[in-house]
Amino acid sequence: MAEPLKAGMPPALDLPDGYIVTWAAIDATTGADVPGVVVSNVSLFGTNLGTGSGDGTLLAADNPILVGISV
Amino acid sequence: VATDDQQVRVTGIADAPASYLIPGNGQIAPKAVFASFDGTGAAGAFKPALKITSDGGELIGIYPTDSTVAAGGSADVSWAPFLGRGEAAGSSGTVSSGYAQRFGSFQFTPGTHTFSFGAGTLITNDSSVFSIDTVHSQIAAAHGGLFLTTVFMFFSTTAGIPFTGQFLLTTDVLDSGGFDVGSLSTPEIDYAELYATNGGDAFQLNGFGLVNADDTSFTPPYRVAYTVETDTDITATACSYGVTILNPLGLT
Repeated sequence: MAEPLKAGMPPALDLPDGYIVTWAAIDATTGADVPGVVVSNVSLFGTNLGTGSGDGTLLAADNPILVGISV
Repeated sequence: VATDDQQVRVTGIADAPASYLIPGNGQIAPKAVFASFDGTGAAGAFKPALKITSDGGELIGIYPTDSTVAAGGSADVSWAPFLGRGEAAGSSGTVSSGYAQRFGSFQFTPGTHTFSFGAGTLITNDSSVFSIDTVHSQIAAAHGGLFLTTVFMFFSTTAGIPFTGQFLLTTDVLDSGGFDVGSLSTPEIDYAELYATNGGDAFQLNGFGLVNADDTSFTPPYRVAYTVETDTDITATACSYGVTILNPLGLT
């Protein structure tokens, strides 16, 4: 059974083109990544800021890729 | 209802830390972020955390949960503004608060006088937030945050001494770390002020202050100064002054 948790984040956090959002599992004392944790069911809800100044390549907003970073 | 809000569902499963690159057509100002963390195979206890990195590769912020997930445990985590420590405290019906009061007779000469509180005058439900700065005899708030405060004063003047002019109660935020608060941020201080005249022997004054001490958390702790300003000599007998201060949203 998954434990429901919550955390704060800045109220005005614009994420423009090229920014990276990372979901991490960190050690409470050292802040180091804790291996062996799997992330899924990710979603972001917020205000669409429109097309940015990127290369114009359209990516399916409802089907982006979650990329694992090796540890 | 027309809205510019959208939900971006990031498909896939990945080992943490897992990242999502904001695409050119998906720029977003998030109001809520969600993710499931399966720690069945976790090497140890962990805190789920959201990290934001700029397009230049600079880390902007790390936003972990307050609670730790035990090794082997799993969590469904929601991120949203103001879901910090204070909100968690509020969910249990408790808001960090402090109260201090003094009694006695006090002589106020023309000028500004700062209320002082001894070490034993503070009553608080959270000593990690509020304390008495014994050097300055003022209430100290650890770190920045939103603080609501009220100040009151009751007194009678010595018979035969007329009280004219203004009597002003204010709140102010002072730093105690050797920095100039104003150079780091702009404290927003609103206060109500009541002026008393010689309308009787007893006066009641009160004020209200809304103190946004420091949203950068740069210079903890802060002292909250309550001051009285008068332009006449006043001997306040049977005087009682005190303050309450709340930190409803937690420390920043």
